[in-house]
Amino acid sequence: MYIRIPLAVGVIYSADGVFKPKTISVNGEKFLIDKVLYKKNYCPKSVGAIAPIEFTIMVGGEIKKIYFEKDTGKWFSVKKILKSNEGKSYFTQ
Amino acid sequence: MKERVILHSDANCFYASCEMVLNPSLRDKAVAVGGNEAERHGIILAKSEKAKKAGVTTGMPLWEAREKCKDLIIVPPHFEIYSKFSKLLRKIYERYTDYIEPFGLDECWLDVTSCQTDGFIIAEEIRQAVKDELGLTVSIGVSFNKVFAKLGSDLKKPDATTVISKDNFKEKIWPLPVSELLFCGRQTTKTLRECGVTTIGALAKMPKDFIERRLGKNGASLWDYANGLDSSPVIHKDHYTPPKSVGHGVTCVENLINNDEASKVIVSLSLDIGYKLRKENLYANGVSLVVKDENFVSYSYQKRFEGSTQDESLLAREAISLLKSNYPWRFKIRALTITAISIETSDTPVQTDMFFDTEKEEKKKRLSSAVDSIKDTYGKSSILPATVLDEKKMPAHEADRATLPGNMKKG
Ligand SMILES: [Mg+2]
Repeated sequence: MYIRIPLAVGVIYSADGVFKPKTISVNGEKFLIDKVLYKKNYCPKSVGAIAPIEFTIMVGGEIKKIYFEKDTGKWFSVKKILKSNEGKSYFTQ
Repeated sequence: MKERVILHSDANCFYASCEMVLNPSLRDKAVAVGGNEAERHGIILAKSEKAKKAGVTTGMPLWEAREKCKDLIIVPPHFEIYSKFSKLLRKIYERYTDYIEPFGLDECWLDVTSCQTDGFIIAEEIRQAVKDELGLTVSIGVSFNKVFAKLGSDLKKPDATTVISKDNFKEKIWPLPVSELLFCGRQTTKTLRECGVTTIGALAKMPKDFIERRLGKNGASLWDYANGLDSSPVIHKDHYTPPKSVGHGVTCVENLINNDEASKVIVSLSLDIGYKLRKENLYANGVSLVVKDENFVSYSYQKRFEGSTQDESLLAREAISLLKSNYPWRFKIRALTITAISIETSDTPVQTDMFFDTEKEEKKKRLSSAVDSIKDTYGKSSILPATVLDEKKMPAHEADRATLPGNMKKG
């Protein structure tokens, strides 16, 4: 079972309107994103999302994937959990 | 003329698939989109592949669907989400061409002739992009005309591409039942069957003038379609101008003598209009009624609404009140035409559907959508309001009239 983990993300915009995630905050601690490796339109099939953009980033020496859902303006990552909560839908998360 | 490359892309089990994208725990399960579970009268609006295999059909009452398919999961509809996904699909198509003509929420024709890339390759790229980016699947037909492209998209589902070329159409299209052909309605299918024509190939091999004699211009167009001669263009996305009005009129088999009789005809006529408005995603801001009396004198009445609507019962109600308060009834009525006027698309920025917010109207919308699905599957006269059941003065074939999208013209 996979769930969406909501993320607080610091973003910078270039003059031509292109944006890039710069920082991620987890549990009140802020991490600097070292590098954005790739960016593509991709919907993870394990959680509910409307056409998000997938950013593959380097943070703290690790490669991670974070997603931006334009429709809601929300950032999230995907996490596997053991506890099953089947039936939990996009509309209640 | 250079051979055209036309794609028809059809999202598979669109409503149910959108629900699965948003709730992946539903994937690969028997899922149906249906009216509120708590409501006793809910019916199935859409179903997943698995539910379909278990015998669940659109329009089926929920209790029956649950009986047919014990593990069926029924979810309520989210029309605003489906409309979002419809626009996102359109955005993917726009990477290849501006000639994009929608047909309902989940189908589009694309003319990719100018792409200089093989149609099959474009179709495969689109199919992959839709799957990766949206999590939906589409079936795509690739052909040299719109009619065959549409038939092609139906041949292999889900998530597949089918090419119908000048070399293989006789083998792939001709064995199909003639009823699969765009605009071959129930009545036409019946007439063709009486002439011994049941497949598209059989129609293609008939002499054209014979078919035209039996079925008129519509028959001639169908004959062209069967022979791969459909030349209707895919409309440019900016030029896809929805009709300025959506109307439907009829000359009655017998003159109408009072408001009661006329009202029944008006209700009948508005059914088709509501259906067409919803199919084309249009909203009406008013209604006009043209009455022709037995002396061929016409009277025209109009009313503007304070908001916009797709609701045929409202159109009918307003048209009936126009008639009652205006028509002098000195003569009997020979013909009636009701037209939805000042049409706007659902993309018009200020959406002023005057009923959008209330729960009751949401329910009504869901009902209309369910009724439309039934009409799509079983024909336009398969489901009718009780008011028109004893209506006897409309010509019988009216119920089966085809509703034409875009500029696909009959003859
Ligand atoms: Mg479809």
